[in-house]
Order: sequence, then C-alpha cells, then structure tokens
Amino acid sequence: MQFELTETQRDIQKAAREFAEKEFDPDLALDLDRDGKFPKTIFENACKLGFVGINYPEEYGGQSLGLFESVLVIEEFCRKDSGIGISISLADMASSLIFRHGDEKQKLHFVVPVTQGKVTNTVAVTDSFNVRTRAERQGSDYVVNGRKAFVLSGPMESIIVTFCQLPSDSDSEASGAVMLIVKRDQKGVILSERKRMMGVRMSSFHEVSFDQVRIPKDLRIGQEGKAGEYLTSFFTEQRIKTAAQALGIAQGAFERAVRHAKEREQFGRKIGQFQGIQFMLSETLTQIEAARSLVYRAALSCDAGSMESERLSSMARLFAADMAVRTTLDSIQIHGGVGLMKEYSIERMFRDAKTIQNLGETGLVQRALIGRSITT
Amino acid sequence: MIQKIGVIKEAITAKNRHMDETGEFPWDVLKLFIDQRILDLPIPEEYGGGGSGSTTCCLALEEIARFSPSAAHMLAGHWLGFTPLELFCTPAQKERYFSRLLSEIAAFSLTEPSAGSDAGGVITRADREGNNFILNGTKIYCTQGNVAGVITVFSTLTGTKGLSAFIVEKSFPGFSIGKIEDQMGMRGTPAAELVLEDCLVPGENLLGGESEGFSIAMATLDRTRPKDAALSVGIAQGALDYVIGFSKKGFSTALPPLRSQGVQFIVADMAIAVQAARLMVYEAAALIDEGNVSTLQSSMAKCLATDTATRVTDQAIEILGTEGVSADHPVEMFIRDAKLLQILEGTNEIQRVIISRSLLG
Repeated sequence: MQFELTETQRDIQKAAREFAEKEFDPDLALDLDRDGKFPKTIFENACKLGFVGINYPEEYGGQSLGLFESVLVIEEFCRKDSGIGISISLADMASSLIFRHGDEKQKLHFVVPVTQGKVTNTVAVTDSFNVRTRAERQGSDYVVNGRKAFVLSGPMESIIVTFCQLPSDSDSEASGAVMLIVKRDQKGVILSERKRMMGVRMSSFHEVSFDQVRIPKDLRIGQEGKAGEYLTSFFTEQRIKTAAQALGIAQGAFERAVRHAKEREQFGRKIGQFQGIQFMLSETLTQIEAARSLVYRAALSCDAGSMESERLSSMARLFAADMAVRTTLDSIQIHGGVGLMKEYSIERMFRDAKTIQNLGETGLVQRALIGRSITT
Repeated sequence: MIQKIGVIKEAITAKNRHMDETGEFPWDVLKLFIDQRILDLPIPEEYGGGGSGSTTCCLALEEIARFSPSAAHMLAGHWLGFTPLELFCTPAQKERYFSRLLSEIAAFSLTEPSAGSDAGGVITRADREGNNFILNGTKIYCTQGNVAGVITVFSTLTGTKGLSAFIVEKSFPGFSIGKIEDQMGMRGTPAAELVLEDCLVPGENLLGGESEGFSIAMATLDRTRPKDAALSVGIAQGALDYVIGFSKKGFSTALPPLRSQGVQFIVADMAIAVQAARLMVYEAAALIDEGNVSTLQSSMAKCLATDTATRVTDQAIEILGTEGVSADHPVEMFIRDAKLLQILEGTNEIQRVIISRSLLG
C-alpha cells in the first residue's frame, strides 16, 4: 500500500497551488460571487496550462493522467478559493461522458474546444417536478420534449448532454433511456431565468425546457438503452469531484482559522492558546485527514476500474461534504464577528460547501445508496 | 399577542428576500411593529409601553422568527438596547428616553476591534470636561447602530477603573456612523461601526455609576441571552414547519422521498431538539420574570438554542436537497441567520466559559 504521491503528482499539486495563488485574486472572487459571474479569464488560463481535462488523452488536449490527478487540482483550486475552484471544476461536466461513450467525431467536436478554454459544457439529468423528459424517434432524428431542473449553464456553454427517456412502447432494443448532445443555442432549448442559489454563485443554474428539439442520431452518445449504465460511471466520477471540492474548501477554511487563531488576541493571549479553540482545530484537522484518505482512495479505485469505486465514491462524497460544512461553520465560529462578514470570504466558503453538499445528489441519496449496497 | 403577530405575518414574510438581497433596514417592518404595539412590548405601561415580561417577549420573538428571523432580530436588537436603560436609568433618564423608545430603535454597543469576547479590551475613552463627557474611539458590530436613536455605549472613563456606560443619542455632536457591515445573515438588521470623535455627552447621560459599566453589560446580557435563544427556537421551528409543509405539497423526483424512514428520523430529531431548546428558553425567561435571574440558565439556553438553530436549519436543507440551497425556499437564509446568533451577544465559546465557571468555580 502506497501513501505517497508520485513525483508527477507532487508536481501537478504544486503547479495547481501556484496557479491558484497567482490567479485567484480574493477581491476579484468577492466580485464574481456577488455578481454571479463565471471566472472566464482564469478558466482560459487554467485550460492553457492543462489543468482542465488533465485526465483526457493528450491527442484531445489532455495529459493522459487519471481522475486522481484532477482531484489534486480541484483540491488545490478550492483550497485557495471555493467559488473559482468549483466553477472551473464544473465547467467540463459532459466531457467524461463523451470520452467514455462517445465517438471520435464527438470527442473532437465537443471535448477538444473545452480543453482549449473556448467553451464549457454541461449535463442535464434531473427532470423538473412532475415532468418526464422524452426523446422520440422521428426518421433519423430524435425529438426531445421535457424540462430539466437545476441545470448548470454558464455564459460559455456549448452543449447540454441530456438524459432522456425513450418511449416504452417501441421495440425492446430501444426501450430505456438515451443520452443526447443538445446544442445550447438550438431551436426549442429555453433556459429559465437564473436560479438564485445560496452558493456556487460563479456558476449559474437554470431550468431548461426542451420544446420539440430535433437532434440528429449522430449526436447520440453511445447506444440507445445504455444511458442508465453511462450515468452510473458519470455519477461515480462526479461524486469524487464533489468530494475533492469539499476537501479543498475544508482545508482552506481550516488554514484560515489557524491563521486567525494565531493572530487574534483576547484576554492577553492568542486565542489559539485556549484549549476550547485547540479542540475545535484538532477535531477539524482529524476529519480533514480522514476525508482526504477516503477521497484519494475512491479516486484511485475509480482510475483502477475497481468494482468498489461506486460505493467508495458515495462514501467519499458523503463524508467529505458533511465534513466541509462542519469545518466551514467552525472556521466562522473561530473567526467570531469577522467570520460573518462577506469581505473575509469564510462565510462564502460555508455557502459554497453547503451548496455542493446538496447539488444534484445529496447526502441522503448517498446514505440510501450505501445502505442498499450493504443490505441487499 | 400571537394574533397581533398573525396580522402582520404575511406583510413581513413578503419582505424577507428584499431584506436579504439589499441589506437595507426595513423601515416599513419597523412601522408595522410600532403600529401593532409589538416594538414597545417590554417598555413599562406608565410610559405607554406594553409592560410585558421576559416570557412574553420571548414568545413574540419565537413566533416572529418562525417566518422572519431578521424581523425578529430587529426587535431583539431594540430590546437589547432598552434593557440597560430599563435596569439602570434614573427617574429623570426614564422620563427622557422611555417614551421615545416606543417608536425609535435603541442599541447596545460594547464591541470594539480589540474587545470581542474580552470586554476588558475596550479602548474607547471618555474624559470629563466641565459637566460633560467627551468620548473618543470606534465601536464595531453594533446591531442597528446605523438606525438607532439612542445607544448605550461602553467606554473607559479616564481616572477610573473599568468600564462606564453612557447614553448616546445619534444627534450628539461628534457621533457618526462608519462602516455598515455586509454580513452573511440577518441582513435586514446590519451591524454598524460607530465613530466617536470628541463626541459630547451631557453629564446626566452617565448610565448607572462610574465604573459600573461591566456589571451593567453583564446584567443586561443575562436578561437578553434568553431572547436570542427564543429567536433561535423560532428559526428552528420555522425550518421544521417548512419541511413539514413541503412534504405535504409533494416532492420532486430529485429528492429522496420525504416519507422514507431516513427522512422521518431526521424530522423526529429536529422536533426533539427544537422542543428541548424551547423548554430551556421558557425556563430561563420564567426565572427572569420571577426576579431570579440566572446567568447559568441564560447562558445554557443561549448556547443550546443557537446551536440547535444552526443544526436544525442544516437538517432542513439536507431534506430539501438541491431545492434547499436555492433561494426559492427560505431555509438557506434561515441557516445564515442562525449562524450569527452563535456568535453575537457572547460567542458560544464564551457561554461555555461562563457555564463551566459557574459550575466549577
């Protein structure tokens, strides 16, 4: 069993740290959070340096590394700034689906421009309340109707990979679900007004309606009826990425708390010398280390294609997200009054941690999945 | 009283998001509180107020916080500002201020950059000049300091030991408002910086005696901490109400079924925690009304109830899932509001210091 990063991994971690230190300006981050803007320039620069799509093959603009390496990057980014880190790590959500299951043309068309920093892409899975998003075959096309909730969609969005139900009355081969590449600016694709969210405000969320949206067959990802299977590996990867975001946020919030505890004096002492504060910090650091071990292990098992990775990803996401919420709340508490004020960003780290904890899948879903895997 | 609150519930709830988004003080909400005779609840009847005790005030805060923590915090801030005056004003001072406070906000200002948990760190200075005092210094995090008409300011008086308390009016020369904080929660009732530059305070505005400031502050906080606690119980109950209402409306496919046992158990835990905190608040308030003020009970109630509010609002979001972190629902605001209460009027770490000290000596 190996607990050390390789030299390459250490280099990547260091490069990501230096990039974040240099580019993620705290004042800029406050503005982006308040105004709800995507950090476009930083994203472009991150792409130029190869941080986005690090796990894709080199011929598609990646570095042929694994999910583990992208976890290291996400962790470093979110440690420096939760909002910028999350928005960049969510910017290429659809790429891995296209990589795993798409054809050559799709990869070149829809993934390469993302790694070049020209566009972003997204995935729409969850249907809106009381809606079923369906794709019907019409000749060589699909026609999509329906509505999806909480779709992440930024100003640079090019495509929305959309999970659709196929009509159940068609032949058995076609039954189930299908995943289609829907172009963002296509006729019939309508974005609702932006959702106001507690955190992750540098990314925007919308309800997306599909009204008779015609998709040619060559924009189908993989095979008909296999979309459910594709989703499983997509979710495994997303959970680990979310866990990495949470881990980075917690580490950043912890470091800020330590800095404050070493600087702030009350009752003639640095507050870090009070055992009440020390106990909070020791609990937090223990939880962070435990989360890191779990998140790294989940990422490694995913890269190894292990059967365990699905359940480990749920556990990593559950543990790391809950831990990050607790850690950011404790960091606010240690900061006292200043922790509540927007200019210090700790409250933003809390809002971001709380939001990713509940984005898409939630802790309850993870508990249910883990529970089911144990008792059935 | 609960009926009176019912009358204004809708109008105030409709203001929640505006307060949260703009951070502006809601003058129209203040007007509702004045018109409904809620703002004046603790002010004695002979001055035209409601003459209500701690328990009634706590019930009002709990009931209002269920739908608008920020609106309840406006009242709690005012009542915090009124409490030192209630306890220590001379008859002449009462005449001068009590009737004003039926419709004008009072505030309490102890905190300074170097004096947070440690009130001993106050460096704001008062000097005698003839019959008057001249105050110099900067106070921070004064709840509603920017809209208050009358503020109890704690300062050291040159030539004496410890703190003294002064009744400062916003119109006094040398008094001005500095920075207004952009805070994570309770955004309708922002904290403000008070700037005292040769601020001229008449001699008759010393509250209590010289050097009695610390005991005035502590006597005040013993009586107001249960109010923060009551407000927290209201926030937690409000989050629970919302989850229950949501479950009756049905749920989106994105959410785990609200009827599943995992969720049921969380709801049960939320209800247990809220009720436990509520009873502790009622006990602390009853002790105050009986004249048996207990620092221990007040601190325990504040600590438990504010911790409970943060946890229960967190659980509410967990149940609502992605919906819970969207501003379409109030719980994401409630948790931000709740978090403030774990810090203001003595952080919960300070409450634990007080509690353990009163037990262990």
